[in-house]
Order: sequence, then structure tokens, then C-alpha cells
Amino acid sequence: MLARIPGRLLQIIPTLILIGVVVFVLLRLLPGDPASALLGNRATPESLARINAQMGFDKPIWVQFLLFLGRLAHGDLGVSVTERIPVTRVILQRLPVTLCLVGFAAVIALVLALPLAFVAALRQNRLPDLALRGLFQIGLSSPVFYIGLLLLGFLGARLHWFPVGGLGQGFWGAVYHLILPAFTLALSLAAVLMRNLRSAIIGVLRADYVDFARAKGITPWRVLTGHVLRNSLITTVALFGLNIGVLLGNSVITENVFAVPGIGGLLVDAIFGRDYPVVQGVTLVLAVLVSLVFLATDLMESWLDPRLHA
Amino acid sequence: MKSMLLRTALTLGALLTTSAAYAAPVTGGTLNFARNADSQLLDPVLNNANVDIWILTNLYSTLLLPSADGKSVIPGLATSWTPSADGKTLTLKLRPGVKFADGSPVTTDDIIWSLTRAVDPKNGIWNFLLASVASVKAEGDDTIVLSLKNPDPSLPAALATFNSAIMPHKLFEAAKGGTDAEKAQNFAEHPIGSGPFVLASWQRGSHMVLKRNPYYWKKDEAGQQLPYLDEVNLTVVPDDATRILQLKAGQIDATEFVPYERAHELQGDTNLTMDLFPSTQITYLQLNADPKLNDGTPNPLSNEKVRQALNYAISKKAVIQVVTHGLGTPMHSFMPSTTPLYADLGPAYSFDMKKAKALLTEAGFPNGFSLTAFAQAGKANDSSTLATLQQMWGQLGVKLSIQQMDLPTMDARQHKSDYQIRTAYWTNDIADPNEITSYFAYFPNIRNQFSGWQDARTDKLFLQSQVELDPAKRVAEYKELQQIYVAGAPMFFLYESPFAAATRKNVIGFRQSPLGNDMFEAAYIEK
Amino acid sequence: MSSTVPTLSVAPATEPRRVWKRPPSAFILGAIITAGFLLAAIAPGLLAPYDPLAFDYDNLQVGPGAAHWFGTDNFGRDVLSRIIWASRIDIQIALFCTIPPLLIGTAVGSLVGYYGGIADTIFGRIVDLVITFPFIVLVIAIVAVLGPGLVNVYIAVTSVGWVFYARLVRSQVMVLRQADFAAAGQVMGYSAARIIFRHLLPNAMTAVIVYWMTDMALDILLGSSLGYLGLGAQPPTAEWGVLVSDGKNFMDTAWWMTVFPGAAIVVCGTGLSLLGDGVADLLAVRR
Repeated sequence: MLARIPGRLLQIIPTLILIGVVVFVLLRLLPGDPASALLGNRATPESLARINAQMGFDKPIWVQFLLFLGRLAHGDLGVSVTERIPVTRVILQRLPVTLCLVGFAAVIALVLALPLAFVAALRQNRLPDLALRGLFQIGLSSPVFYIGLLLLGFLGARLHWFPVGGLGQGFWGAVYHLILPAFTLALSLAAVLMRNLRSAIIGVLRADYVDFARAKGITPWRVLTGHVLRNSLITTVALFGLNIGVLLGNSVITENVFAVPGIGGLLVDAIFGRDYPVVQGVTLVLAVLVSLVFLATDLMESWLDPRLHA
Repeated sequence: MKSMLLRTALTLGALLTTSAAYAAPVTGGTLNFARNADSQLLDPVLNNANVDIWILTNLYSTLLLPSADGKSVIPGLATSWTPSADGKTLTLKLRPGVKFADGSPVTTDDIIWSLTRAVDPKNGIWNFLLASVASVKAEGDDTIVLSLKNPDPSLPAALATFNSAIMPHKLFEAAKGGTDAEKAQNFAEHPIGSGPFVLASWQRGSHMVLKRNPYYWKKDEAGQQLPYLDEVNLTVVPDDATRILQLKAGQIDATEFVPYERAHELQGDTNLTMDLFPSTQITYLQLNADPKLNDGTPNPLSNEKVRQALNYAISKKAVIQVVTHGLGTPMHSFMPSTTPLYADLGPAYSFDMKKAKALLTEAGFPNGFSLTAFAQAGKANDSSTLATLQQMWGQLGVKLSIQQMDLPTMDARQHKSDYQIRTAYWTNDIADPNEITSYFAYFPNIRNQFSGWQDARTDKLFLQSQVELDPAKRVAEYKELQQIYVAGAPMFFLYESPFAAATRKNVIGFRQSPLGNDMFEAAYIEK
Repeated sequence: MSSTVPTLSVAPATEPRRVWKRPPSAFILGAIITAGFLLAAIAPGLLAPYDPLAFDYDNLQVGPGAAHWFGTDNFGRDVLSRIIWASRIDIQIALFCTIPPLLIGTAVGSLVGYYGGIADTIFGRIVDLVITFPFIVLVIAIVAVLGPGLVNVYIAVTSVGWVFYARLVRSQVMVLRQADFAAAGQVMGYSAARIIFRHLLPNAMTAVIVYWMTDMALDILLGSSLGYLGLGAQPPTAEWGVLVSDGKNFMDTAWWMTVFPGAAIVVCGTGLSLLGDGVADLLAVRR
């Protein structure tokens, strides 16, 4: 199984290069340029030219692209136009926040979905099940910014149970501040997870081997917990992998609502500040991240699910 | 509205007499302040943006300082400044015993190096403010002499502006990096200056902590050491609504850029103080006066009468009501009324539809024409302003269509003169009229905001005023210049508006200067 | 499957869909909700009690009550009327963000699925590219290139969204191509076009229609999210996301300005999803 990793890693590279090209071209198609964005209504022709020259944006596009590739080969993503520090540093300051947020959301989703799925499955087509499925449907149809605003407005501003956005200080400060945004991000994942786990549990309850186990004197409860817990883990991993792109995309909006200084806000700011190197860097890092998560979930799944070993 | 203006005046008054009228300010504590955007490069000379400028004055001191009303200059690191009779030299006496935040003394070498760096045309975009300086020399260790290429009446104001901040030469040289640019970059991440605070930590995009500079040179009127606060924690919260929710929840102590639509409500909140600081902030529409647009079609706005007519057809009162909820005041000139040498010539084009109609007919457009205006996407104020204008100009048969775009696109198109009308804002950076005038009225710099409007007399007046030693004459020159500009109407005049900041009730003494600088040095938190 | 952000993909359940069949009442509820919003979109003037743009300075931010069921906003405009008029924009978003991708995707997917070869390889690369990229980020970037506004949102979503339809149709066509009737068609010398259009596509369309229903719900979420970020519909156009964004400034004093427009998004999205699930069940039964 582990022997597959290098091959899979190599497969990622052409995709990354393609993304690099697409982003590079897309950025050059953007109306406006970094120097104009930086100087606004104080721009003189000389200062515009000087900044473009400093950043190398005065060179022909293909030269810029080759330089970009050359630097990339050395792990250098260039220098941010607005902050004027290396892009790798800009990203490293923001990336952990987003990773924590997304990871935290996955944990919350699992903690929410698992017990609810049990309740729904065991009370199939009765009131708790119908109510939970209704909630699931609503959760899936709610835009992230709306859930976020409601939580922020009521649990934060009105009831003072949680901070109103921001990141706080220190590790526990960050955890406390990230509860609401992570919960916001987790809701739709939890809904999908619950739907799948519920089906899985119902399937187990109907399976022949439960009857067999029962005949052997093992309680259905034991079968359920043993089998379902394993199953739920597989489902969570698979769904997380399938949806990582969506979670990262939604985190752009969540970060905006909750003033969380993550990579989503950085990317949006960079697009609107025409900070080409930062946009290029962030998109590449996101693509690497998504590809690695795809790979990791594949591996995890086959490790967790013996059936896939064959 | 009146009560709010009054309150502003009272707040300012209270500030100036704080130490005399009240019990001693409370020392210590942390002020949590939410900003709408993070700083980018904390270098006095190389920065480009307000997010840097407005914080720099807390980290660095300048030889002179702007007065509270922004109209004159008071002593800073220099205690006196004396121009020579021919105006070609300026002699400054230095304050003794001033130290940087690391405890090392501020020397004449630091001053010579800092100013020379700021004057160098290769460095940044602000060197034009010090363009008259030929050389900087020391006489003994308490006197600095600036030799000038020409007399420069704005030099004291320029020496009170962020870009002439005094930096520690030795520490700068000790910063990592092979070139000056790299050193500047690294130094700007841990800047050490002689301002009231020093940067303690900075998590980009998230927050920045300023700690009290124990060696700060300034005391308040009662002789108490400034600053009062131990720490200022600046967090970045881009969303206006979220900042206000945080303030109401007590999560932060103060914030800036309160939307005008919220001002009235926050004023009624007994836990908060709503401050409306006089500002140099103007909101206007920039127009293109070139005879032809970039696509080759003739441009009716090249006709002066048309520009005047459309200016007459704007009810500034209506715009001010809709956009600022009555907190703005109509512009009377292209420069904000808080600018030194501003001449109040009365309202620039008071609302008069009859006059507008007549002028338009005279100009040969009795049935109007079509115009396109750019608005910043997602900015509700821009679209409401233009929607109001659509209505008013519609009565003249002038059809205004609105095109939404993001700011960099709009800027880039303006820089290529590829636009007809765009929404625009401005804030002065220096307590002198020459900055705004060089960008708005003196053609050779940037074709007057890329409008293409040009007036030879204005250009001449500006050059004269730049070397004018007689203050009365300079006043007269600026008066004439403003008259010509208003008559030529190369912009659509809208309104001036205050800086709206809000604090918890127990925060005293926070101030925003008319130039926008956040001033934490005299702020404290009442128990 | 819903790769069109901002909600999540549903992985295939481990058990046949039949067990999941919801009570028909859910389907009926979905149909009623959808019909209601369609009506609002077609004839907002009939339903809205007030002019959605008329300022009323005497009734600023009035809470929900008999005169204004959902209250008024900071200009005294009736929130309910603005929500009803906004339906027109949001339903338009649901249609214009899905129909062009559906058409393009179906065409490309069936061709690639039928012929395979180099075209299929290139298509595989494009799929890799699109799924490795958070959808909303790509849409934001393209909207930035084109400039904010609804038409550009349609173009941006179409330029990415077609891939998901194409992927779906391709896999369906590839499976069906192996089926007996397609093989029989080839033996009988039918043209490729005839086989694709007469035999393969009709069978593949079931999955496409089911996906389309979910996709509409998701694009309403996407469109309102872009409106919220200031990239979609531009004020003064009333669009649900823009209404929420306008209202959030007054969350603590006039909650109805935020809560009701947001609720419209949730209800409309739920209605479309329920309808989509119902349609899926119906079509599955017929097959």
C-alpha cells in the first residue's frame, strides 16, 4: 500500500503545473495591475514604472513565467507586492489558522453526526428521525455566511457566550474563538455525514450477520458499536477527503464573517490587491493541500477498510 | 446633526484640557483597538498606504509635529526652527536627551541619515514632500541645518509628516540583508523609533501589539509621563458590523471607520462614546475632461459649461443625507476645509436646476447626453450616490449609467485616462495644501487626477506658492488657485465627512488627527 | 453529487436508495415551496404588498408587525416586498448558472464518453484541475477578471460548472455504451449521432436531471454568497445575499433585515432539494 505513495505523488505534479499556468494566465488577464492597486490616486507615471520594475512586472510575460517556474523549483514563491516579505512567510503565518479551522470543523461534524445518526437509525421513520432529517435538509440548504451571522449575532453579541469573531491570544484563546466558525463550517459536513451514517447503521441492523451474532449471544448493541464505529470512521475520512475543496472554499466565507485571519481572507485580499505572487502561492498551496488530502484519504480508507486490500 | 457636531467640539476641547480639568489620567492597562485592515510595511519612507501611515506616528517621532487642529506645526524632537532671511536654510535646535525605544540616544547622525534617506528620489513615493532639501548637516550635537535648493514655505509641515520620521541609523544598518531594500524590509518588521510606543509583536492579518516606549520624550501638561497605556492591541476586523458588535460586547475598547448610518444609534448607547473627528477626508467624483474618450467618442465633459451645469444639478444636501446620514458637509473647494490656507469661497455650485438647464442649453446640449460612471463594486455608498445623481441629472436629459468594478480596475483605468466619471476619496497626508494641489490642480504632475484639465495660471500660481516666503502672499495665491479650480470644475464636488470612531465610555483621550493618524499617546482607560 | 459548492458532496450511501425513500409529503412540500418562489419570481408585483424601492422616512427600521410582516429596513423599505422581488433575481441565478453548464457539459460528456481517446485524456486533466481547486475560489478569481455583476457570475460558473455535468454524462455514456442496445445499434450500422442522441443520452439524462435539481439549490447558495461578498448582484438590485449583507450592519438593532432574507435562501434551497430528491425517486422508479 505504501509503495503506491511515490507514484501518486508524481501524478500530482502535472496537475500542479497546469494550475500554475492557469492561475498565471488568469492573473495577467485581470484588469488593473499591482502598481496601480498599490498607489491609487497618488500614482505618478514614474512611481508606477518604478514599482513595476522593482517587482519585475515590466518584463515580457513569458520571461516572468519562466522566472516564476525557476524560483518555484527552489521552493521560492516570490515576494508579496503589498507586504513585501516572501510569500512563503505570508502563507505560513495564515495557513495554520485555516488548517485548525477545517480540522476543528471535521471533529465537530463527527461529534455531532455520530450520536444523531444512531438516534435517527434506531427510530427510523418516527418523529426523531423525521425531525433530524428535516434539520439535515435545512443544514444543507443554509449558506455559510447566514449561519455564521446568526451564530455571531445571537450566541456572540446578544448572549455573550462566545467572542464576536477574531482569533484571541494563545492556543486556548484560539480554540475558544474558533468554536463558532468551526461549528458554522461543520454543519453541512455533519449533515452529509449523518445521512450516510444513518444509512450505514440501518444497513448493519438488517444484515444477516447481526442475526448470526445475536444467535451466538452477542447483543446487537455490541455489533452496532463495533461495526458502526469503524464504519463511521471510514465514512468520515472518505467524506472529508471528498469535500476538502468545498470546506476550504467555505472557509473563505467563514473567515470573512468571523474575522478569522486565515488563508481564505488572504487570497481574496490578494486578488483584490492584485498581489500576483501571493495569489499564485496561495492557489498552489491549496492545490497541494487538496491533492495530499485526496491521497491521504485513499490510503486511510484502504487501511481502515480491509475489503479494499484485495 | 447639530448636537453631534457640538459633541465633537466638546470632545476636542476636553482633550486639550484633559489634565487640567480632570483627575490625573489612569496609567497602565491595555487598549484593544480594532482596525479594518492590517499594516503592510512599517517603514516611514517606503510605505504606500494609510494602513501604515496611520500607525507610524505611534512608533516614530518627527522633528516637528502637527498641531491638534492640523493647521500649524508645534515642536517635536526639535524645540525650535528658524528659517534664514533668504529662506534658503532652516536651522533646528534639538531637544536634549531624547532616546530611542531601545535606550540608545537620538544623535545628529540619525537625523542626518534619516532625512537624507527620505529626500532620496529613489526611495518611495513621498520624497517630493522634501524636494527642496539640498543637504542636511549638523552644527555641534544639538543643531541641524537644512540647506535648501529654493525657499520652501511647506518645509516645517513636511518635517512634521510621517516620512521624515527619525530612525536609528545604527540599528537599521545592523538589520539583516545585503542591500538597503532588504535591510529596510527586515527593520520594518521590528521597527525601533522614538515614538510613544514600540512594536512588540505582529501576527500579519491578525493583530499587532504596541508596548509603551519607556524612554518616550513627551510629558503631558501636568508633567506626567506619556503614554499612559502599557499596551495597545490592534486587531484586524475587516467587517464594519463585526467591529461594532465586538465593541458593544466589550471585546474591544475602541474602533475606527464606524459607518455613518450607525453613528446616531451608537451615540444613544450609554456604554459608548461616539467620536466624530474633524478630518481632511473628501468624497467626490473624478471626471475626465479630455476632448475624446479612449474609444474615440467625443466627451461632453470636455466642455466647461457642461461640467458646471452638472455640478449645479447635484443636490449635495440630498447626497449627504442619503450617504452620510447628515454627518457630511458640502465641499466648497477641491481641498478639505481643514487644510491650511483653505479659502472659504462659499458653496461650490449650490443646487440650481434652472442654471444647470440654461448652461447645458448654452453648451449645445439642450436634450442632454449619456454618461458612464464607475462605482466600486460592493460599496453601497458609491451606488447610492450615483443613483441619487441619476435622478437629478435625469431631469436634464442626461442619462447616467453605472458600471460596477473593483478598485484596482478602476484605478488602472483612471491611470490610463480610460474613464469618464469615477467615485473617489482623498485624505491629506501633510498639514499643507501643496500635496493635494500637486495631485489635483498642478497639471504636470499627474494631469490633475488624470482628468486632462489644465490651467496655465493655476500651474504658475502653484509653482510660485511653493517658494513663496510671504505667508500673506501664499494665502492669496492659494485663494486664486481655488477660485480658478472651482470655476473650471474638473470634478463633481460632493462632501467632506468626519472620521467616525467609537470607544467604550471609559476610554478617554483617543484621537484621530485630521490626517487620519490614530493617536494613542494620550489615551487611557478609566477605572 | 454536488460539487458545486458551497455545500457538500454526498457520498454514495452504502445501501440502496429505496430505504431512504422519504414520505411523499416531503416531495409535495418541496413542490409547493418551489412553485411559490417561481410565482414570486414571475409576478412579484402581484404578491409584494409595497414598492420594494420606495423610501419611507417615517417608518425606518420598524419591527415585524401587521403593516409590515417582515419589518422595514434602514430606508423604510418593506423587507417582505424586497425579498419577493429578490426571488426574481435568485431564481434567475438558479437557472442561468445551471442551464448553460448542463447543455455544454452534456454535449462534451457524451462526445468524450462515446469516442474516448485523446479527448478523454485531456478531459481527465481538466477534471483533475477543477476538483483540485476550491470551486468558489475559482469563481471568485474569474469574477475578478470579468468584473463583478450577475452576468459575469453566470459566465464564471458556466466556465467551471460544465465540467461536473460532463463528468456525469461521460460516466453514464461509458456504462451505457457497453449495454446491449448500443452494441446492437452499432451492429445495425446506426450513425454515432443517432446512437448518442436516440439511445445513450435519453438514458443518461435521468442522472443529469437529478443532479441539475441539486445544482440549482447550490447555485442559489453560491450566488447569494457572492452577493454577500459584493461580487454578485450589485445594489440597489435586491438579491437575498445582498439583502443579508445590507442587513448585517443592523444585526443587533434590526435583526429582521438579516434573518428574513437569509431564511428565504434556506427555504428556497430546501424546497428545491426536496423536489430534487422526489424527482430522483420518481425517475428511479420508472427506470
